[in-house]
Amino acid sequence: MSTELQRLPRPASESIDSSLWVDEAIWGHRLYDEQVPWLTFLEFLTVLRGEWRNDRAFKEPNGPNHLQYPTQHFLYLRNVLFNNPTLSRMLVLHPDDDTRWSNWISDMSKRASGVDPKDFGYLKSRFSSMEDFVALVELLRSTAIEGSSNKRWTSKFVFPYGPHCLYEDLRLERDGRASNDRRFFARTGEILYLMLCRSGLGEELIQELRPLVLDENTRWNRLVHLLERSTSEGEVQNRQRSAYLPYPQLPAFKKLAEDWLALLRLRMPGYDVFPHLVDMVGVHLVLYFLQRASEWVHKKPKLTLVLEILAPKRTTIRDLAAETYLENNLLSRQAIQKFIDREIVQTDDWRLAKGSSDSFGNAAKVVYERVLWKAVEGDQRGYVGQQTPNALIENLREAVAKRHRQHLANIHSQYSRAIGLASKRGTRTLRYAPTDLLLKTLVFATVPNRMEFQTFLELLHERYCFVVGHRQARQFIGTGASDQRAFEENAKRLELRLSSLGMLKRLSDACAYVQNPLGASQ
Amino acid sequence: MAVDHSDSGQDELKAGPRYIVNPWVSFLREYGPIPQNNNMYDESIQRVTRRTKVQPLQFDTGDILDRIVADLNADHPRSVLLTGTAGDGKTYLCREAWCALGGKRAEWDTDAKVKRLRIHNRKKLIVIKDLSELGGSDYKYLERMADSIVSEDPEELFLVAANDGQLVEAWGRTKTSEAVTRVRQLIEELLVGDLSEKAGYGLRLHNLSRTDSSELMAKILVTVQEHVGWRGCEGCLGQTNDVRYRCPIWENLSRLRDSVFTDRLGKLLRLSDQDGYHLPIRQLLILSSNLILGAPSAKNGLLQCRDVPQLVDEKRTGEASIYRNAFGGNLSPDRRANTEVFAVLGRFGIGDETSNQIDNMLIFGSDDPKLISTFDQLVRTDLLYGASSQFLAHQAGYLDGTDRSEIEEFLDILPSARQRLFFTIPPTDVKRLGLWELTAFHFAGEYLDEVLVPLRTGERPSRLILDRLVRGMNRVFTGILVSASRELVLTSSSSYSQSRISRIQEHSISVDPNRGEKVAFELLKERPCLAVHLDRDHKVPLLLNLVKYEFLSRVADGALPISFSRECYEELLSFKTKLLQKWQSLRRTYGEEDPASEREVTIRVMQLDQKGMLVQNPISVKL
Repeated sequence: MSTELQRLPRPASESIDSSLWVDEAIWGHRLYDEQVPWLTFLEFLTVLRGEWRNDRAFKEPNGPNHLQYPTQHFLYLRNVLFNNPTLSRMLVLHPDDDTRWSNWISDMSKRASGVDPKDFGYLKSRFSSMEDFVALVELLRSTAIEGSSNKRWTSKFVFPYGPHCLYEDLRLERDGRASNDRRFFARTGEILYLMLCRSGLGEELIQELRPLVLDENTRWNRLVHLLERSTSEGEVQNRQRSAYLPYPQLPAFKKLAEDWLALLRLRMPGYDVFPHLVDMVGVHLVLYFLQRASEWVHKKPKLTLVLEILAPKRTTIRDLAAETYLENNLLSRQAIQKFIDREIVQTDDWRLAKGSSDSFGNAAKVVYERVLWKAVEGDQRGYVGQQTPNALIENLREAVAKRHRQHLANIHSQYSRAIGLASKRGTRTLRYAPTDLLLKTLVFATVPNRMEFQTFLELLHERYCFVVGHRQARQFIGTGASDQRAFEENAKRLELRLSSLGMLKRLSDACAYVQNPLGASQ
Repeated sequence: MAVDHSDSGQDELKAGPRYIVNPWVSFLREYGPIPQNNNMYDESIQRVTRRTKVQPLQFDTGDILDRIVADLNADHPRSVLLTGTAGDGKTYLCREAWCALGGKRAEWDTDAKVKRLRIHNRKKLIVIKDLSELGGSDYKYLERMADSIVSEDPEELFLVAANDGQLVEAWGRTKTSEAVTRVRQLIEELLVGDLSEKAGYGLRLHNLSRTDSSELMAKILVTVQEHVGWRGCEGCLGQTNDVRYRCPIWENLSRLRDSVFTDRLGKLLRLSDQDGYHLPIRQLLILSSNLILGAPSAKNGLLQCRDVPQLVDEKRTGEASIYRNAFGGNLSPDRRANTEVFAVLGRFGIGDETSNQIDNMLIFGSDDPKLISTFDQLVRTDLLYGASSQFLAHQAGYLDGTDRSEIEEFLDILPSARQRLFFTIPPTDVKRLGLWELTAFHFAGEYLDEVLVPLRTGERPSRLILDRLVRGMNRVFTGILVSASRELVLTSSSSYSQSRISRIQEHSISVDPNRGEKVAFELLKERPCLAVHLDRDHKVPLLLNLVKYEFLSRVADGALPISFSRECYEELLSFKTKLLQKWQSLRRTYGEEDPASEREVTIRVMQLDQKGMLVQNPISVKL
């Protein structure tokens, strides 16, 4: 029951913009469906960079939920990479470098946006030929995050090779003013950052992350920085409001940090570890989202995700995977209503207000106090509907549900799909069916060297609530929803998949070991 | 049952030799793929032996028995653990060891799951012939075994047999003590690392699944051929050389003497070993029995003497083709798939795979003047299983092309014709006819003869082969159709090392020896591998097996990396990652990695020019 979980006080009402504070009370401010795990990771990196520069990495020196960090814009770099469609044409249209450069520079002086002065001449001296310049730009575009999407160009991101590659998502007005409209950097990265702050493993994390993402001297970071004008403004101090993470402590925070540390310590070459870190972000945010919901909905919080290891034809496992997916998808919607029940309707304050002479007015006050519903603020001018406590609650429920549907309700489906946890492959309904990359991530993060297969299945269940084999599926076998054989075959398919990925060694029919090919003794 | 041929003038018949029933043949059936409880295999053979008084097959299991006895009898004795899969002969060896150490046969035959014996050096020997038989309270024996293994001078010694899966599980269930924990760890190490002992522990582990199947099969075949039971066939009509009356069982037995046949079979087994598909003795016995007795129309797919007259009479002797039996063609698809030896041999796809050359010869060989001599030489000379009247009739029907069912009938018997060719193409024609194209592994013959054999005898495989493998690796590493084979290129895509297409060259390693760098074939613990030397002291080996060899060779020849084997593709990408990791750590050690001081950076982007040659476009940037 969530009331047993210690929750931090919400921010002062003046600093809250939202029209309602229900989603945020349960999950924090905020999780956002359009900020997919990669973008969450990028936002996280910008936060980390800023805090690290101020010697505060993974610490909350001003107390919890007081996060303010400097960011970077690098608009010259971004114009060159993503607002520059005519670049390669220059090589074709003009015969010699001088003409190419002068044409391009003049083109950019008209097209570029968000920078002043619009002078890109500084690039000419940094490259021995325009061909080299074009080749570099094309290389960087090929590895960009969201590079080929149809998002606005200010929401495209160069690969995070180092601190000079980290900038915040921006919206540019016509007059060139830039602001973070929180469209794609919607603070989920900040939530991630706060979770890691509170994991208790901040020191270890910064030690592993520093050489990877905060080292200015890495070759690719320096290459990217070449494209930015040296006199551009450096850091931008932000007077933004802080993100809000309701929980000072949760075992989930530590688990996420542990998984990240396990991955980082494998010392994969280059930046290979990033997609795995991102996958883990997705996994843990999904679990966080569902677990908080479960705490409000179930008497004893319980979460199950049945994973179908892709089978050529339909099995009872597929049905269960779809069922558990569906159940989980509906959890949050139920949770917010339970929240209303317990935080308002079932309280003494509410009963008193209902029984009082100005029942509506007092009820409205209770509602505003609990969930900051703007519609009933002050003189309730924003409220439309019958002015009775019951109608008030009904309208509140509707407003809460509607707001939740817009974004937060989609977190489970969006994130699960983004990290390859859920898919429609081979069928028409969404269900849990992990991809190879996700399976690799799970093995890399949880198997330091070698682990007996059944132990691995048990670990997946205990750590992530994943059900694959029959020993963890007793609740389904007991009720006849499926049988032991089906789950055994599901586990067998997992063995085959892991084996084809080079991550399983079979000794005999009864005995198999999951192996981490990058692990210690390999 | 005699056969009546009143129209023939054969003296033999008039005189009256008939088809004999030989009880040895019925006994041989017991070894075959008849449905039975696997665990009771040895016991059921023993039972039938006692009932029919026929001598069972007895063959030499190598020196393992001697080593077991030596270990237990030594001054500093060791306990012995026998492991492997079902059918490796663990029970058999336990019994033989028991008798060799002085134990009485009668005592062994009792039901007791744990048997005790006082042996020569006055130690107490405790024998558990099947760990899976142990019940709850018996697990204390494992605790005692653990104590014995870690002690310097044990009072008791143990001889235990278990499948490796049961082994791990059983130790997991034993009550934990310090000794038990240490021994459990030890056993896991030995099993996964393929070792047999570790200093400081009084234990020897014999993993019977690590034997050479082809050697064992050769021994089994000899034993089968020389068994006294065959004397019971003397005087039978089936021994005649006249194909009209020839007994298929007797024919198959004599074909076992064909060295080309046994050689090819041995190659298939050796290649399966290479890929990690170990076939235990039981499966090889199944194969032996099936080779001789297989026929689809017989009960359980295995012939008995009394089936023969009818088979011969109806001119269906070809059904018992030993070549088809080798792949379980006499069994239902289900049983074939569920019998290990046929599932393993089936991997080669012999019967389904083919080449234009071979099929042309099989289809048009009777007619086409260009193909006639090959057809005569390879097919027509074999009247029973090659150009049998049945085959020729179907072939004519197919060429005639009018009757749909005749066309299909011929297509149905083509696979067995191909299977036969695989075992009969003479060594001199192997290259010309492309023998290995009859299998899914076109490069298997080369792998065996030009890589494995030279390595085992201390020679170097040819440079051309090395070039091909390097080219294949380069194509996988870069994702582009490069033809470079002088050097191994390590590439990434600036962000990830395992992208499908990685054009940025991080480093290249010379194949020819150059200041400590080189790429060469080597043997690693008896297994062939390709070793990539990054410098004089550091190398990273790539273990080779048939699948990987085939994969790399095909990719070098132009196949897409994903097409032949997903597993190999992933393995090679992991190998590239390992190489990059190693190289980066070496650079750090030697202090070569100091990006801060770099004034100029050159990025080598790989591209192909119009001729498909590798062109590097370096991008030079001043930092």
